[in-house]
Amino acid sequence: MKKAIPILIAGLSGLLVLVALIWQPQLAGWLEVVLNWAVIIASVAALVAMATLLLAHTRKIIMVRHGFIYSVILIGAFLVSFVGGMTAGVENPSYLRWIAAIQQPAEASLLGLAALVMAAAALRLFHQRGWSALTVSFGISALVFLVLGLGWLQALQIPQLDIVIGYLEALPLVGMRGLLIGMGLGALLLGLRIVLGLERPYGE
Amino acid sequence: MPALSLNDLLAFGLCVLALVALGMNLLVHRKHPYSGLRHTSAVRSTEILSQAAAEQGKRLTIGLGLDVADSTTAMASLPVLAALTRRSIFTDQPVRAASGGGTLACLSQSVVRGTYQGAVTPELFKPDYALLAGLSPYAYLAGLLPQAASRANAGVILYGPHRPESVLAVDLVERKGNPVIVLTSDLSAQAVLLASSAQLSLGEDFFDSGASLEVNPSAAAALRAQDLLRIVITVGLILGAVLRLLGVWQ
Amino acid sequence: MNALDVIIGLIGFALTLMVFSYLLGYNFFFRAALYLLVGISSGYIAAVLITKVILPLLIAPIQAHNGQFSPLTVVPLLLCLLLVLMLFPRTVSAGKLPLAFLVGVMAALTIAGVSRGTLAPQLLSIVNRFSPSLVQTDGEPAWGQILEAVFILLGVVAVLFTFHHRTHLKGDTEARSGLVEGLSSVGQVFIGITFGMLFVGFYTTALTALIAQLGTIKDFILSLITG
Repeated sequence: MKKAIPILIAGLSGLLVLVALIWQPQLAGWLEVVLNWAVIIASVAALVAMATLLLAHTRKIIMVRHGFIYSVILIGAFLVSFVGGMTAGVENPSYLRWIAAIQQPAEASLLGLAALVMAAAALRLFHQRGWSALTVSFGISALVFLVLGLGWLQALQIPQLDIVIGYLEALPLVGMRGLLIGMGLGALLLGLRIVLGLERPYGE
Repeated sequence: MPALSLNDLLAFGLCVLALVALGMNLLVHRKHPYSGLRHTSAVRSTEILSQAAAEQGKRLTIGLGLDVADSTTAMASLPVLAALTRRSIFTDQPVRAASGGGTLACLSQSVVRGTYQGAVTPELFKPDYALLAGLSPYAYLAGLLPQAASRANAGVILYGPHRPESVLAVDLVERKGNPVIVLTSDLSAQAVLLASSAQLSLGEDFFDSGASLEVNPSAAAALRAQDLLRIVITVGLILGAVLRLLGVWQ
Repeated sequence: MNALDVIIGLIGFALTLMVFSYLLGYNFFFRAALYLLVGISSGYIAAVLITKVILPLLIAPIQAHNGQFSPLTVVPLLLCLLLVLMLFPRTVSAGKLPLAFLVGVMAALTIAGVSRGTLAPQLLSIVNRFSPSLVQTDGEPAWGQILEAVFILLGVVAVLFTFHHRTHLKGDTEARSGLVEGLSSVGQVFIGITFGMLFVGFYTTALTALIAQLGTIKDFILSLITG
């Protein structure tokens, strides 16, 4: 019985949302209430997860475990940005400027680093994956789109070439459609299994 | 109920069809749910890696990807987390999970705790086994990287909605000389990681875990339902195209 | 350039160097930058969640009812309290109920979103390529358009069958039928082409970010030198 309660809650909440989505606008009010609750609970879940993370790092500091200095950095940074946000307000321009001053360069640098890592990895493509229909078409396609991305061929303004370029640019959409439909089917069946209680991502 | 558009009617029809196909396959194949299904090698490799980790006295780290709110496909990875945790409970180094969002972190805590409870060893559970890595996509990557680089790892599995930037995590694990398995629902990430050495699953194979690990008969029924829908969609597309061409369907 | 600009510029410069130090190996500075990013973003998001969601949506309605609980406010409050119990190892399982609620809602949104937003529009757009207005010009068949539409249809079917799961016993081994294997080979070519384009798309974005970041650093150093 105890095990059945979460299954029942997941099923009922899922069904309620589905029914409310179909019977619009009659059930729009109910849908809004349920979605509001979901937003609140998801936010509290984020705070709980964050608290668990902070507790884990605090334990690391207290026990002076290997690498505790990083935990000091994490908790220190958290406290500074959290206290700053709560006191100055999260929309305060000065506060946002400080947050952006750290987030923006760190994130842009990580993305830039990814470019360098990708370039190195791409050079080893055939060594890593061997020669197959997939890798050969991937390699040729990447090369073609890299050239097209430079815009030199388009700059020549040759009508016949522009037609060929148009076809080439439309070609990946075929695979994309197939992949999206396949992924969609997988996601649809996963959703149905959860609402039916056949899959329990909240644990047994 | 208001009048439905063609798009909504088709969507509704697909949902009903998926439901019927799922139920039918659950019933028909209830005795041998996993037979006659292709196994996804990346999922099977997670099992092999899990055994190797136990033999080496090392652990597996699983990156569960971005939050459920960003992509519900994140939930597909939780049965694998449960299965691998179950196998590592009595080893020196239990599986560690890192999540890219609050809901996913709480779900993974609940799943891991439930698995320990199921093995009648709730006292062995520690909250550190399933932690949040970061709340934004880049914070998740930043939180995942140190865990992926841990010397205690025998390998790393990235299973969930990972962005293409996770190529950095794959590179780091490679540098540490450990294997990495990636199952992501993000097509751009699949494309980027195709050029890496990671063992990778492509396209909808992302959803194969429950069936490939043989931990959930409904997952196998879902794969059979997917196959059936594939055939129905193909027939429907051809029929629709012919009707359109002949001008029967204006 | 005022003092604040200099400090912010220096932070950006230092963080960029710390992140790119990864190229020399996985080191202290790189790790410190990672933990700093996690800490700063977590603190910011926590402050946003409390001030923009928890206070206005959970606490304010209770205060509006002068502390009296209505069913609409008490249910989320109870579910949140159960979630908070997850902070204690012994009571982690209490979080199952609110999580089940969340999972149910999200699964339903996925079902609706995927079927209405992905599957149906994608399928209709493939069939609509065969609409008379596109495949006929002046009442005559436009063979180029028809061939293109057929090509798209066959490509999509081939990609779909690349992931077909059903196998049959062939001798001692399980294998897919010859038709499915054939379609799968064609499908792999289409997948490779799509992935090649996606790879270049992301690579271009990342490279642009790299160039922009290096440009920012260069401008900062130049402005420091020139005052």
